[in-house]
This record gives sequence, structure tokens and C-alpha cells, in this order.
Amino acid sequence: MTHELTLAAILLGIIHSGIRLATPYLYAAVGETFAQRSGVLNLGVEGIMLMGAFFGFLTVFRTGNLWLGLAAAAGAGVLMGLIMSVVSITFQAEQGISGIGLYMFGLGMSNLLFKSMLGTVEGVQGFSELRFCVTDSFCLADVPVLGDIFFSHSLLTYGAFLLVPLAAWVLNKTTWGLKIRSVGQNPEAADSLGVNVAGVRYAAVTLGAALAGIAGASLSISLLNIYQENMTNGMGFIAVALVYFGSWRPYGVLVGALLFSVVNALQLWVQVLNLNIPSDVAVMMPYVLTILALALPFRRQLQPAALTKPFSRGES
Amino acid sequence: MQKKSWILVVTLILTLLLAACGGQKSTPAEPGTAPEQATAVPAATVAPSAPAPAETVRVAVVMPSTITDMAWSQAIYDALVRVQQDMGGEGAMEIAYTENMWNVTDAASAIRDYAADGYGLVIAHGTQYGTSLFEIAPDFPDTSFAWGTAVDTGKDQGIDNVFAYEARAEQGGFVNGVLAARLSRSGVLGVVGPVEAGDAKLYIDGFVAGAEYADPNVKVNVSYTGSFGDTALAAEAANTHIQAGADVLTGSAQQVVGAIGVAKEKGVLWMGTQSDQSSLAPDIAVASQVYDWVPTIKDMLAKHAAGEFGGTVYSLTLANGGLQMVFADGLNAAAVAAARVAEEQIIDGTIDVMAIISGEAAPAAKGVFEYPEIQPVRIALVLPSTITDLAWSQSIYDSLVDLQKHYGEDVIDLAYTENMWNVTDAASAVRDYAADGYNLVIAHGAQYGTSLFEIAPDFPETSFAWGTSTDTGEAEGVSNVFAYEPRADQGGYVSGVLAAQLTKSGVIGVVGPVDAGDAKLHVDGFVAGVHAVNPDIKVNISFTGSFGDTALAAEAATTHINAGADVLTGSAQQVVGAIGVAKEKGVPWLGIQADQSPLAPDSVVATDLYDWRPTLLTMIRSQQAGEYGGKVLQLTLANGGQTMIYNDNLPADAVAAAKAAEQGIIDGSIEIVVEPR
Amino acid sequence: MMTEQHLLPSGLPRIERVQMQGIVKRFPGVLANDRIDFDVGAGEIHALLGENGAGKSTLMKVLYGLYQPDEGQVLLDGKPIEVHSPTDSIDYGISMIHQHFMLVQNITVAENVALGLRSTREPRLDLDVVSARIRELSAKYGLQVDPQAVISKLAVGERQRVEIIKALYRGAALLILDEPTAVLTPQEVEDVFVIFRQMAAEGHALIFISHKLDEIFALTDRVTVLRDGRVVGTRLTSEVTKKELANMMVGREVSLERYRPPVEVGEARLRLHHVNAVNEDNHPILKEVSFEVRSGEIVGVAGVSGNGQKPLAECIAGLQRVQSGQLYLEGRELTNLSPAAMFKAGLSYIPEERMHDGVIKDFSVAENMILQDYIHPPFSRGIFLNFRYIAEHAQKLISDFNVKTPSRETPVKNLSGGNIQKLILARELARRPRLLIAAQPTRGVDIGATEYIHAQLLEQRGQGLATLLISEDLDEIKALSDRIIVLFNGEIMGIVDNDEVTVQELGLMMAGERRAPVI
Repeated sequence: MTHELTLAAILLGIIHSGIRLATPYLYAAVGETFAQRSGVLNLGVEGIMLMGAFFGFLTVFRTGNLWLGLAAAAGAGVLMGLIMSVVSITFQAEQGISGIGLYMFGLGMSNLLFKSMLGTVEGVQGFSELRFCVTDSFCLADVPVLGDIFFSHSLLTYGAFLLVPLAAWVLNKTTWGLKIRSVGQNPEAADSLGVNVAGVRYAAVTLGAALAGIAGASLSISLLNIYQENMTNGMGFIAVALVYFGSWRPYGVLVGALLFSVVNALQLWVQVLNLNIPSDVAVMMPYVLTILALALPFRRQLQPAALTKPFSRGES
Repeated sequence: MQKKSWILVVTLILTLLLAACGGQKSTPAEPGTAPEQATAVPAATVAPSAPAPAETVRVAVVMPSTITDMAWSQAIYDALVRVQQDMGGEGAMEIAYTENMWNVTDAASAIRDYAADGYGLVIAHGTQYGTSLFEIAPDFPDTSFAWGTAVDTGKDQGIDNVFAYEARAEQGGFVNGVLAARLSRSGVLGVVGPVEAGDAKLYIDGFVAGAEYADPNVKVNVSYTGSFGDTALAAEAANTHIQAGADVLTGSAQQVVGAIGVAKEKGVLWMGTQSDQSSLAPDIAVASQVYDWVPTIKDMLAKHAAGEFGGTVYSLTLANGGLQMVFADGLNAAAVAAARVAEEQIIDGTIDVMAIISGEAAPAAKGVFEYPEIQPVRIALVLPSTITDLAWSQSIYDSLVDLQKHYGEDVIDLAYTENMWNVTDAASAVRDYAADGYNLVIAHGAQYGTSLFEIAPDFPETSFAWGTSTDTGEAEGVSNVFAYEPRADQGGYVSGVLAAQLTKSGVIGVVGPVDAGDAKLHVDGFVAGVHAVNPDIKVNISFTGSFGDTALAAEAATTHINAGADVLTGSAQQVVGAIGVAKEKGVPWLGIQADQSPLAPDSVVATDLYDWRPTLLTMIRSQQAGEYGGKVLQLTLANGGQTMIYNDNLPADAVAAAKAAEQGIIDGSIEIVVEPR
Repeated sequence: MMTEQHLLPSGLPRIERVQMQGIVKRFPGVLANDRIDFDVGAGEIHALLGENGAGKSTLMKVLYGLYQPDEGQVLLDGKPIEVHSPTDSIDYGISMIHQHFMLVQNITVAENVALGLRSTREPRLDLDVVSARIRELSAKYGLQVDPQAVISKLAVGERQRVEIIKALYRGAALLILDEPTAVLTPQEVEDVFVIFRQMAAEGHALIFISHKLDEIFALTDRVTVLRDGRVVGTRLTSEVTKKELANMMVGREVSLERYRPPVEVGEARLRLHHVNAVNEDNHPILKEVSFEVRSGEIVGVAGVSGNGQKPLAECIAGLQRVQSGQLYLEGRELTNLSPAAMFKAGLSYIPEERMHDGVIKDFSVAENMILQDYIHPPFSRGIFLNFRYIAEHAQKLISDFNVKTPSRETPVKNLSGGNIQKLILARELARRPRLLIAAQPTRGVDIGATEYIHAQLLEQRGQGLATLLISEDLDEIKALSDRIIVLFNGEIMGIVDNDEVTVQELGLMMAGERRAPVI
């Protein structure tokens, strides 16, 4: 017997994969959006994700409590975010370098902790896919097409997509969001109006890091339910690129994350379908797309003016 | 500000140190940092401050991923630990390792550090480390080095203290493939590969060959993630395979833990390689090819102790126990039996997996061929495409390699230059070969003629050859050039007759490159053959305008099929695209030039195979008799220059009609009438 | 003890008196404020006058909480207060309008105003409430501002109005104005002065930092003069003369008069012949401009800001394309040549935006001295710079042109505006140009430096230099020019002899009244 594939089935597969793959990117990139809008380029997202993935996994592995695991991941992220903040805001270190340092710290630390506390790749029962059952016999997940696309993901995936409007609201409609935007654009002006520039940046970086920690956890206790050393494999850096791609706007980040994930899913299908494209080319597709999008010239104008610039009072 | 700067520097250094401790080097290169690390790494060495006893064997391994990767690196690490246990524990053997050395430069430093630190055997566990290893090894003549996957111990470079090792992963892959094909209900298998190279490629090639060997109708979908460690993408690839209908999955590299998780969740069977992955998901991880490096390492250590520091190539095979197949209990007995039989046959040599992969073992009905005596000769080939183009260039190269195999490398010295689509470059290459003393320089393209006639007079003792052509340059006073011409119209005619028998729709499609030379001959003969059977059959001909535009050729094939064609043919290297389409659509394909059946064994139903050996031998013997050129040589069905190969799945009467046409051309009773187009 | 406090119209309490006593502020190597006493009361506008670097801004930053004083105290209505940050000062009712705009570019006016304030519905922004209040204030003080407008789209004058709105919105019982007019046109200056006077009348206390004497007299009640970090004196504005203040400021006799000796006028150095130019939107910015500047002559270009002065200068400097017409330098046609070619032909240019176009802020004084000529001997030998010569050259110019800088290696960004302008002038004149274009050479420059720059321009005139002086300061034009061109809407309204025209007549021409050209 052979398996018949219709175009509809393939499209559905691509969309479903794309949504699932977008989850970690969304958490990490939306978090990074907060940091960058406040003027801090945190290149350590990858390291934070690894720490979040590890602590989230470890907690679930030991306690079996998923929410505790999520909290642990966010907590690990907060700690990492504070390290980044101290180095780049208080000590005003070159942000690119301190971010890379943070990444290496996260990579090394998570590897060390994994070896000493787990030692081998294990599995856990993570957040499972919801099915939205209305009655015992009827679940929204079973609705053709719609069920597949909308009603069969894990809680963290829904969380990631809900995060986008929430982040947009916080940034654009709250007083704190206004402070973040101002501090990233003209910290002198914000300072002159009594805004605590360092405080706002600390908070934004730390919030971003907490979300990066959750991004890691979305891998280790939701999508994959295992922990492996260096399991993020560059996702954190892609997340940073997605922030640029999305022009520092949560909805832009959403578009970027979905596009990247869908193209990634597409390239898998391209290969599975034995399309006449070398695997290397297929593998390149999402990255080529990202580079093309980043090359669009108008983005630079949307960049927070004080991004990567430390602030200290009285220098003008 | 200055105060802040140094605080920052300290912070960064701390960060880097921690990072270094955590993942990079797990064993001391610097004495000061040893004690803390020893606690973190159970198997690591004792602190060097307490020097090891003299008889302790010290082994260091540098690996690209981690000792817990459930794959490549873990396999060798586990073996080292077992060797250590066998030898009597840490007192007798000391193991040091460095993980995550994906950066080759870092790995080279680590290798050098270990050697300088006095380790007796330093294993660089990755193909990518070879170059550095060969630079380092001569500096430490009393240290043994080892690397793999590789078969090169550096002997050519005068290095004698390097061992090489390889795992014949295709063998276990084949067995897993057989088992997978037998266990699958959907007939679809999924492979999650890392990158298309090295050990992973071997394994996957073997898997695909085994699956197709067990069930020619099985579908094996292969996807590569482009990375060894992208667990998330591997998981997604597994999902994709399952959605595409796969019910048995396999894959390699450390990334597969993600795929195994998905397999487990979806209840799909998993087959592993490198390490035993069943601990992750005992219910679904039903088979593993496990690498056992223990004998290899023990032998290296024994040789090292005996003062032999390198030079040996080790292979992990099923036969020598280096590869072990582990099957779960409770599997379908018949399937396991089939896998065990395949395993036995690989061990006793009945099945040569490599040969199956490369297509050599596919039954090719080559005629009996006589090899005359020849003197040693140096032959150079200048090719417009590549030796693997499955067409024009490959056909002559394969024939030369066959001759070389028969006569030996000391008799036939073969050199070639590929991708000479630029005629000026080709002319330089031709001149270089002639100046270098090659006896026969073959410029394998109709476009090279003009340059050849300019070069040839400068090297009167060298023979040149070119084709497709019938011009030896005699008119210009050139005497040392052969011209050759495959009479593609003959094979084309036979293919045409066959195509006419096969078509039901009465429409046949031809995917040609450009309407000239060999391709034009082929098309002319093909049309004549079709119409000799039935003048009403429509032959749609499309030329892509290029020899290499595979995508366009595929598009052309699709278009033909959409236009009703149910038999396809075509020439030049571009046809791989068209063959892919033919395969996908289940349309028979008639090949020419080289054997294209490995691409689509079921679709490529017949091939007009060019056999250049008679032509080449004529030229060689002519040259050795002092006749340097002037002959026009043809490849015909009669002289064995073309051989028709028919697939077993063809209807007997169709083959009979084709063979009759063959005979008619050979004995001259059939005249090929070219229609005006 | 509760006393009946006077309230401002906004309902906030007035600040009856702020006293700064014995304020000392040190920076590495500099005593910026040396035991300064200063006070201001409700309803008063108190000017703080001094040259650049006299310590005015430092003192006000101490009051606003941006700097902490090393000694001394601040009393608010008699009670000592500690101001550690702008948050504290805003809480006390102190606001500050900075010399450079403190606005976030890519957000709206309302968002800029709301920044740092508590919303009426935390954590959400209440921009509708803020906008309504902004409109209220706009109406009351005659400040035309659209709360929804994005700052980056606003003109300079509008931005200044936003700054004032920000202060008014926060109550601003005491408002510190740090050179608020530096970027405004005369008309805009008059408009904001009306608002400041209204605020004072309502009981606000205002501190007005400036070095423009005219503005001090036009606006303030009292004036305190600072020099080198110390108070020179405090006077009632009505009881001092311009000359007295200038002398107090500079610390010596300064001349506010300019003597323009008769000079032999020579050949035409610059000639424009029916020059037309358009901007990016293809709108004409110069129309049929023809005139010439001769050796030994300063030709002033008068006009309200934005009437073609900048394009005119840039056309001559090769920075703006001439659409039609010709441009001759010493008889050679040089229309639409590159700036480098124009410089080579003998042009020197003192640009309007000196910090932006005139110097490289992070380069040292010495490096800025050779920006055009570094590639030529004697500054370079082959591909190498001749550092010794460069240093000598810089040192000579620093002393010749009286540039006040700690050393020739100091980055230019650490110099005051007047000294940067002297540096540019020194660099340009040292090149021995045939034609000098001086665009707004003394805008934002203190009185001492202005005096020096004017003297230099006249000196060069005496030596035969042809100068095109573009200025929005009519007094400057009148003081220095031999002939005056008036531009309106990119057209020449008339070319008049300085000695035969009054300021009133010039004003009419600047407003668009044409007068037959006098060549």
C-alpha cells in the first residue's frame, strides 16, 4: 500500500509544522524585542535559551510539575538577564561582546550542569497537544483542516502566539512601554523627564531574558520533551535576526517567525517529495530568505536610535 | 570609567572561564584547574599533580559532539570506558576527552595539547580533523594518533604514527533497511539525516539500498536537516515524514533524539545507528546498528605498546564484529529473519552493499569483451561536464576506468579535467596534458575541434582525439588527430522501436539538450525507429537549449506528460531531472549514453549504453604502432560501441521487437531513414 | 504650620523663592561653579548671563538634579532640599528646557508629554486625557501644537513649543530655560517671549540662560553674570547698559561697534549669472540669482531663515546642483563642480551647521585643522602624515586665532561653540582662500568670540579677501557688509549699498518688497 499525498495534505502539513516550529522563535524574539526597544542588544539569547531549556527540563524531570518547570525556566532567564544587565547597563560594556560572553556562559554552564545533574539524555512528559474537547466524543482538534491548524497545539504554542498582541499592547499602550521606547530612542530626553533609564533597561532586558528562558523550555518540555546539550542549535541567534526582520515590532516578529518556520517546513517537504533540489539548497532556503529580508533598506530607519549605546548622564 | 573597564574585563574572563569549564575541555591541559573538573567528569583523569604510574596507558579523544550524544561521540567514549574496565580500571588506563570540537582549529589545539602532555594515543574522532592531524603527528613521533572516518594513515606524506579507522555504516544501514522495508505497512520509510556526507551518508545510502533490495516498491523519503545538532528541526523532520506516510523512521547524529521523541509520541518505529538508542524509547526503538570500537582501540593500544605507532587502517564491519545489529524482542519473526539473512550475506560476501549503492552490482548484460595486449600508455581526458553526469562524460570515463582496472594503473595512467565548458580553458588543458607527455589526449566535445587542430601540430608524437566528429583535420595537414562518433541514431532507432511498442497513448516525449551532434543523431534515429513501427505515433521533441539545465529538463518532462506522453527519452546530463519526473509519474524512460538506472531502476526500462572500450583500444594500439591519428572511429551496435540493456520488467514481445531491430541494424537489413524536422 | 499658599493657574503651589547658596561643582581639571549664590522668585524672570563655559549650564543642572553639587545647598521657600535626579526636581515643581531638544523623535507630541508621568489609568497610557490637556494649554498660551503629530515631522520652532508644553504640563512653578532661543527665528523668539512673560505674570519663576544681550533686555527683570565659574554680579536689568553687561561677561572692555575702514575694491572674484536650483521635490529654491563679490568686499546676504540662503551657499560650495545658470570664480566657469574642485579653486566655506558639517566631533583640534588639506604637502609626505608639521600648524593657529582649548589633541566636541567656530575660521583662513563664504558665522557664539570673528573678517577684507556673509542677524549684516543682498523665496529682492539703506528698508525687502538692484 502506498500513501497518497494530496496537495491539501502537504499544505496542511507545512502550516502545522510552521506553527509548531515558530513557538521557540516567538518567545525568544518577542523577548529580545523588549530588550532592543530599550536600547540593549542582547546577543546572549541563545545561551539564555539553553539555560531555560535545561532548568525547565530538570525541574519537570525531578518534580513532574510542568508549571514549576516553566517557572524555573523563566527564573533561569531572569538570572541570565540580570547578568547581561549588570555587564551592559551598569558597567556599560560593549553590548555585542557581553552578549557573546553570555551566550558562551549559558552554553558552558548548561553543558556542565547537564553532565553533573543528568548525565544522559532523558525524556519527560511535557506539555501535550491540547484537543479542545467540547464533549467526550467531539473535539475541535478533529475538525478537518481547522482542527489541524488551530486546535491541536500545546499550551506553550498558544502562549507564544498570544504573547505577540500582549507585547504590542505593552509596548504601545502602557506607560511602561512608552518608557521602554523612549529609553531606546533618546535616553537623555527620558532621563530629563525623570525616567530611570537604567531601571527601565534592566527591566526590559530581564523580561526579554525570562521569555528567552521560556523559549528554551518550549523546546525541552513542550515540543521535544527531552534535553540535549546545545539543543537550541543557533535558534537564539535566528531570534535576534528576527527582531531586525520584524523591524522591532512584535507583529513584524510574528511575520518573520512564521515565514522562517514555514519555509523551514517547506524545505523539509521539498526534500521528502524528492523535488529536484539538492538538499543543501533546500536547507539554505530559510536563511537566504532571512538575509534577503534583512537587506531591505527601510528597516534601518525603524531601528531604535540608541540601540547598543550605553547611557550615562551629563555626556553631551 | 577605568575602574569599570577592569571590572568588565574580569567579568568577561570569568564568563569565558566558566564556559570553558562547562563544555569545551573536560580534562586538564593546565594543571591548575584539574581538581574541580575531576569531580564534574566522572571518567576524567586523575589530577596530573599525582603522576600516573609508568605503565598506565594514557588515551585522549577529541570529539565533535558530546559523550552523551547517543550517537557518534558517545560510541567511541563508551568503548574507551569498556577498554578501561577490561584493562583494570583507571590505574591501568587513563582517559581524557574534549567535547564539542566543531571548530577544527580548536580541535587541533586540543590534539596538540594532549600530545604535548604525553598522551600515548590521541584520537581525533572526526573526518574533519585529518588535515590538522597530519600536521601535528610528525612533531610527536612517539605518540600514536588515530582518526576516522578515514582510510588514510598519511603514509604517502611519510607519516607513520597515525591510525585510521572507518565504520562501514552502509552495512548496518542495509540490514536496517531490509528490516524496515519488511516491517513497514505503509510502504513509506523516513530518514532524518544530518548533512549529506561522511558516516551519515554511508548509513543512509545503505539503508535505502537495503530497503529497496527487500522491497523494490518501498518508498524511502530522505531529508537532511543541514546540521548535526538541530534537535528541533530533526523532530519536525520526523513529524513531516510521519505526515508523508512513513511508519518506520531512522536517522543519524546527535540530533535524532528529537526525532526519536516524535517517533515515540506517534508510535512509529525507530531504527538507530552509532549508539544503542533504545534507552530513550524502548518500545519503538526496535533496531540499532551499534559501533563497537573496543577491538579497534585495543589493537591500537597493543600496537602502540609494541612500538608500532600507526599505519594501520581499521574498518568496523559486520564481519569483524565492529558493527553489531541489535534487534528488539517481539518483532515480526519473518522480518527479523530476512534482516539476519542479509546480515549473514554481507558477512560472507554474497551481498556487496557498496557495489549495490554504486550500481555496479546491478545486473548489466555486458557482452563478452576481449582485451588485447597493450603497452603502458598515459591518457588524458578533457570533459565538458563531470565524470558523474550520468551521460556523455561519464560514459567515456567509465570505459577508461574499466580498461584501467583490467590492465592496471601501471599500464594505463589516467588523468582528466572536468567542466571544461569554456573552450579556451579546455585548449589550455589539452596543451598542458600534451606538454606533460601524455600519449593520448582526448578532447571529449565537438566544440574543441578548432583548438585541437592548432595544438596538435606542436606535439607530433602525441595522439589527440575528439568527437562527436568525423574530421581528423587531414585537410589542414594535421596527422595526429582521431575523430570519433557514436552512431547514436542506431541506439536511438532501437529505442524508438521499443518506445513504439510501449506507448498506449500514442504520444512519446523527447527531452533533448540542443539540436546538434550526438543529441541530434539520437533524436533522428529515435523518430525513425518509432515511425518504422507506427507512423501515426506522435513524437513530441523539446530541446532545453542547455546540456545542464536539469530543472528545465524536468519541466520539459512534466510538460510532455501533461501533453499525453507515456514514454520519455532524452540525452545529456540534464536528463536526471527528466528521469526524476518520469519516476514520479511512473512513466518509462529510455536512457542513452550512460547507465541511468540507479536514478530510477523501475522507470529506466532500457539504455543505449555507450561502450568506448573498443574505440579507446583502437586509438591506443594505433598510437603505439606509430600511427598517431587520421582515423575516424564510430561507436556502433555492430562493433560493440553501443550496447542495448533491457530491464526485466519489460514485456517480452516489446524486447523481442527491439532486439530484432538491433539485429537488423547490425546486419545492415535496416536502413535508418532520417525524417526532415 | 499651614499657611495660605498662592496657587498657579494650574492649581499647583507657587515657588515663592529658590535660593542656591555657595554652590561648588568640580569636574576633573575644571572648577565649573565656584561658590555661587543665586536666587529667583515667583513672578520673576532672572537672566543668567555668561560666555560659553562660564558655568551657567552646570549651575542649572545642579538645580535640576542632573549634577550633585560638591558644596553648597539649595533652599526652596527657605527649606533646604536635596535634588538627586530630575524625578526629584519635577516633584518640587522645577522644570527645565534644555539647550538641545530633549524630545524622543519617533513618537508623538502627546507621548513625549506623557513620558515619565503617571497615567490616570495605570498601567495603560491615557493619551486622550493628555491630548485634551495639551490642547487646553495650547489655547491658553497660544502655542500651536498638534498632540498627535510625530516629533520627527515637526519644524524647529514647533519642537520648542513642545518643550514648553512639556514644562507647562508638569506645572513648572520654576522653569529653567537654557538658551531656549538658540535655534529660533526672530519671529519665533518674540512668540515665546510672550509666553514667558505670561507665565511670569501668573506667578511662575523663570531662569533664563543666554548670552544674547538683546534678549536679556527684552525679557528679564534681573540679570546675574557669571564668568569662569564665579558670579561677577547681579543687577536689575533696568539699571544696566548693554556695554556694562558685555564688559562684565568678558572681563574686559569689549567693543560692540565695528569699524569698517574704506578698502580699495578689486576685481570680481565670484560671479553668479542667472542661477536657478530646485530641491528634491523639484520646487525652485533659487530663482535667477545674479550678483558678484569683489576682492576687498564683504557682501551680506540678508533674509528670513529658509529663503534660499543655505542653497545659495551650497550651490557655490558645489554641494547643491545648479539647474541652470553659470557660476564663475575668478573668471573661470565652475558650475556644478565637486566641493573638492571648488576648494581647490580657492573657495573656503564656513558652514551653517558647524558641529555637523564643519568639524568631525571626535577628532582632535589638530586633526580638524587639516580636514581638507591633509593629503597635500606639507601635511603629508607620500602616503604618510607629517605629524610634526601638523602639530606646529595647529599650535600656530590655536594661538593666532585665540582658540581656547586644553590642548591641540583635545577632541573638538569638548570645545565651546565659539571656540569651534574660531577653529573653523582659523582653518579656512589659513588656506589663504580667494573667496570666503561665511554662513551664520556667529550664531550660538558668545560675545567675546563674536567680537574676535568679526575683527578677523574685517581684517581679511582689508587684505583683499572677497567674502559672502550669510546671516540672519541683521545687526551683523549691517555692521560688516559693504553691500547687502536680500533674499526672499529664493529670489533677490535687491542689492543695496550698506551706507544707503536703513534696517527698516531691509526689513521690508526681507518681507518680499522688491527694490531695483543696485550693483
